[in-house]
Amino acid sequence: MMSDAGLVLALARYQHDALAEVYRRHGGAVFGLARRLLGDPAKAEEIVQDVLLRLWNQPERFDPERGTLRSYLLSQAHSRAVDVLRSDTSRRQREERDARRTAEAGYDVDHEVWDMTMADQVRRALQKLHPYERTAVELAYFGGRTYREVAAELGEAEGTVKSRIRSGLKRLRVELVALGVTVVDA
Amino acid sequence: MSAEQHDLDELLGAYALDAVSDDERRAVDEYLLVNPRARQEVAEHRDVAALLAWSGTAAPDGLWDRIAAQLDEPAPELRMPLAPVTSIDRAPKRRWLRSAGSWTLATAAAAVVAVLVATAVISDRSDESPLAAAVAAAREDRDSLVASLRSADGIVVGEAIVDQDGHGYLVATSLPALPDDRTYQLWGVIGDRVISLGVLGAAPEIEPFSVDAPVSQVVITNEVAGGVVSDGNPEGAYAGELG
Repeated sequence: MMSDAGLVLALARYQHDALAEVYRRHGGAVFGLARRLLGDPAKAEEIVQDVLLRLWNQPERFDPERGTLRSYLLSQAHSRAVDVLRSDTSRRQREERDARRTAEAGYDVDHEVWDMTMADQVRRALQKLHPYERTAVELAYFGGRTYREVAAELGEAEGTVKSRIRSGLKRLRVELVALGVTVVDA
Repeated sequence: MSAEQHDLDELLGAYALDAVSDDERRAVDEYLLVNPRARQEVAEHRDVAALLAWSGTAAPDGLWDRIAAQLDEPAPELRMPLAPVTSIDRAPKRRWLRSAGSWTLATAAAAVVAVLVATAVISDRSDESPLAAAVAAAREDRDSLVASLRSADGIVVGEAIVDQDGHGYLVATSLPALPDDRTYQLWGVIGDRVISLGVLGAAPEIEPFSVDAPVSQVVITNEVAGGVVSDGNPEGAYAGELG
């Protein structure tokens, strides 16, 4: 199987098949994240198109020495989905309510996941976090909020929430490694 | 560690999750340019976030077809910078191949043409120094990349020009002079890596440099005399995106 770096080099040589392979490997994950953030399949599709076409036009922006292609694409998708969320006030208000319910209900893994083992390990790692860390990370990542918005919503100090997001991500990494999950070293 | 650096470090988690304001994002962007440890931390946070997003959700039917329909027509494997006539609306955006070998191959042919063009231009600039003439030729070349170097508060202090064969020129117009025990140092951003492009001295004016890979941004930092090997000083840095 061709590596991520090999795929991106093929993209730089305008090989359509390489982009099709990227889509096959990661299109579903990118779509799933965008849909979860936006709650709108049509807008999620636009995000997938945007991310894939950006990779096609600017493959040099992906550096395989700094992380996986999956991580890069999901980061791009998250950033764009957040831009959409923040530009749509009414949707934002609706999503705030929905995301709050999601955060309060805990991590809800899609039952269609193809790798239930991985999903279960991620869920277990999340449960190892302090509740205030988990809530801050989930509201920021899946709710598309800034840390200031998270702080206002939770009635916490901004600096406290900022630190909790950082410490939560670090702790999550440790817990995932302890569970045997390979977290790519950048 | 300064208080400012501590504050920026504390932002790294939120930054990795796109949970910062635009101003904070710009501040962290600049911080990452000169701090490899911070870049490493952000990359690690993003890897963890990618696992949070783990989902086997299938993309909708037909989506790939819509993406494929927007791709350019297949092109030759390697494109020379000076290609034959191409319709503007069909021409692909500038793209750099990542490998140094490809970069060298692509630019080698262009270099022959560039030398001829530069020679012709310089011959009409007999009253200029060779370096100033080379800068002028690079600036006039439509394929050159130019970056305005700005401070964090937006003040332009000069520009960097990189021509298509990797010859670069820093033209400093209003860099504050430094004391003798300090020097300016020029850095190039290649993907997520930052490499030193040269030590500029305390009062640079026009400084040539060269690159052998696609540089997206250039940064000038204030360092101890002699420069540093890595991990440039982020305080008071000037940065610009080549485009």
